Amino acid sequence: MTLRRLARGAASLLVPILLAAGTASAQTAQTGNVFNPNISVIGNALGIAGHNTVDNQPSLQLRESEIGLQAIVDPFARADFFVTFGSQKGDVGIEEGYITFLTVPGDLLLKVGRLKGAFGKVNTEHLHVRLFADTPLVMTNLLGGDDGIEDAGISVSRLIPMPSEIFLEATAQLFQGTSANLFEAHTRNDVEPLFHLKAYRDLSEAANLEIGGSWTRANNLEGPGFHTALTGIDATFRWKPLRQGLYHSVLVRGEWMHSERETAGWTAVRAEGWYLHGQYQLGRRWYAGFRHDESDHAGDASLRDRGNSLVLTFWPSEFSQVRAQARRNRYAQPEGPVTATELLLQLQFSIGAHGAHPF
Amino acid sequence: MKTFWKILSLSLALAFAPPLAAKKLRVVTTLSDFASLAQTIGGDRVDADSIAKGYQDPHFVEPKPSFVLKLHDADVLIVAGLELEIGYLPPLLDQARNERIRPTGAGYLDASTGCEILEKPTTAVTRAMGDVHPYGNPHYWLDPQNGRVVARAIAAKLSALDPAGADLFQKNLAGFEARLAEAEKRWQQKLGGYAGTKVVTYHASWPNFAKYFKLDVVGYLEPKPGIPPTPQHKLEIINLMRAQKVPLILMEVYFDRKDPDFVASKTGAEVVMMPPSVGGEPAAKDYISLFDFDVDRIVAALGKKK
Repeated sequence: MTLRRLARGAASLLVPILLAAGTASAQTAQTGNVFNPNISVIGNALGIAGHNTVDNQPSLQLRESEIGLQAIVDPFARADFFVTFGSQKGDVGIEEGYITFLTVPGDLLLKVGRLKGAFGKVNTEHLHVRLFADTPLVMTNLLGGDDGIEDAGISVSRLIPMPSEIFLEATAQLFQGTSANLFEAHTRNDVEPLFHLKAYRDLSEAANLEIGGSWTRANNLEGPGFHTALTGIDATFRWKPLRQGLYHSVLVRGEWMHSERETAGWTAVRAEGWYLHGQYQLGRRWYAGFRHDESDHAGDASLRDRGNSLVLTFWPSEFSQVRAQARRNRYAQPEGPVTATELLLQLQFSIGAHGAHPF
Repeated sequence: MKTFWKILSLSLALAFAPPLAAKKLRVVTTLSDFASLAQTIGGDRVDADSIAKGYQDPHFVEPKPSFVLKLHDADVLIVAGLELEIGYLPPLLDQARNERIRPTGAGYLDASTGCEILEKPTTAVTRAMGDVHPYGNPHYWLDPQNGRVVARAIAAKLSALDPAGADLFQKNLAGFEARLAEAEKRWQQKLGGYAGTKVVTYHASWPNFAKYFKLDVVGYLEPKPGIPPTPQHKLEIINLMRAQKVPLILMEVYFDRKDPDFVASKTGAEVVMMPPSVGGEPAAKDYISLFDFDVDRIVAALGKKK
């Protein structure tokens, strides 16, 4: 056997082996991908013009990038993770990351992980789902800021059978008791219970009404033993005729919140606030809205901020939206009121498979 | 007090007593077409109801909590599949707390199984193509032959869940298939002479319908699926329709007439408002009369053009 023939023989042996290995690894890679979670990224770019000495945000920022990872875990559960990156370097966090057990007996739905508290409506929404570019004053003042109540915990919700096609769901949540600018747990006993009751009914094929009530209480930032109790009521009216629903719809939502904060000296500050938001769909891709805001400061109820906003939103497609919001806020400050008139321009876009949101 | 206890025990006994008549299977479907088929086949052993109405865009259904209640009580869920319901069904199913009708449950039926699916992408899809469906066009129920496949699948599913009704379901299925065969002859008589007619449709809802009735879809009013008509695209469509002498614009009942009417006024074409699903018009009250209605509308519009 010459050297050349030997080489040829080795090559002819090697080629099928290499090919087989290639196919096998390709198949492994493919079947491996089948179980990968759905991945999505949502960008939220925000530009602000105008003068605001109280809430001074940068002129241009990528306010939030949200990465969603969502998949079925096993026959009993699904998992959803939303990792968010803020505008500053190193500003990374798990906005939500939880497992949902779908087959718990007793009409229960059980979630465990890090969750947004089921307190009202706007607190439960991710930033990109909001119908305005900013955060209502009542949330900033009474729920601690943009993110609101967001904590590690357990959530159990149950459908309560009701007559005449009323949807009634009761949710009980137990959190560790730490939410940015709002709650701080000092010991393992400082847990935060949260309760929410949601009632919904179709008024007609096109119109429906949702009413909710929420309550929570936890240790606040004053130190161990000082608590803040929060109570909220929310109502949402929606109208969307089915035949022309692509072109016209109405949403009116109001939320009222009350905060009772124990402070040093054992006096409680009772503060309240609300917003009313209305949105009308002008055409297939155009929405116009108005929002009125009012809220006391959680630490000093004699100071009450007020604001009005006009919002115009355009959706080039289902996966991107451009929003302009003209906002005039009047902040109550100890040294006197400060008025800020601003124009917010927001561009949001989504890539990948982002799971549909609940109603 | 004795009377009180008597009444209480009686009412408790009544509340927990087994029902006298056999319980009906509760069928929930996403599309009204499947509800119509399920009711036809299930007869009085079934209560069928749909989430979307026939006059509603089936891509954009709101996941209302009232649908959660429907799904919570359902024994069977029939979906179109092919990701048509991806925008609303997953959160509804997650909240429904009903294992029977989850995709792994015995009561779940994906109606697209076994149907002829058109426009399956042959190249990699991106969203630059608009709202494309990566598994193919989901409007497959608009081909009566696919309707037959779905009807058989429904009969099999109902028989598996309610074996005592299997004979009735088979009888009803045979009745439906006979009526459908009759109707197909009727539709061929009416529309057969117009084979090869060129049409423009608003959205790509009609490839199966067009294939079955031998209509030639040469363009869409939407520049890309899900993107409303732009001035530039309307101009292109007007030029195309003039060049190819396209006599009809087929549109779904849930779109705005303004753009189709404008294009029609520039080209002399007729706009045909067609329900794509059962209940889209009151006369389209079941699966067969939906086709009767749409065929008659096309024939009437082509009659005007003569």
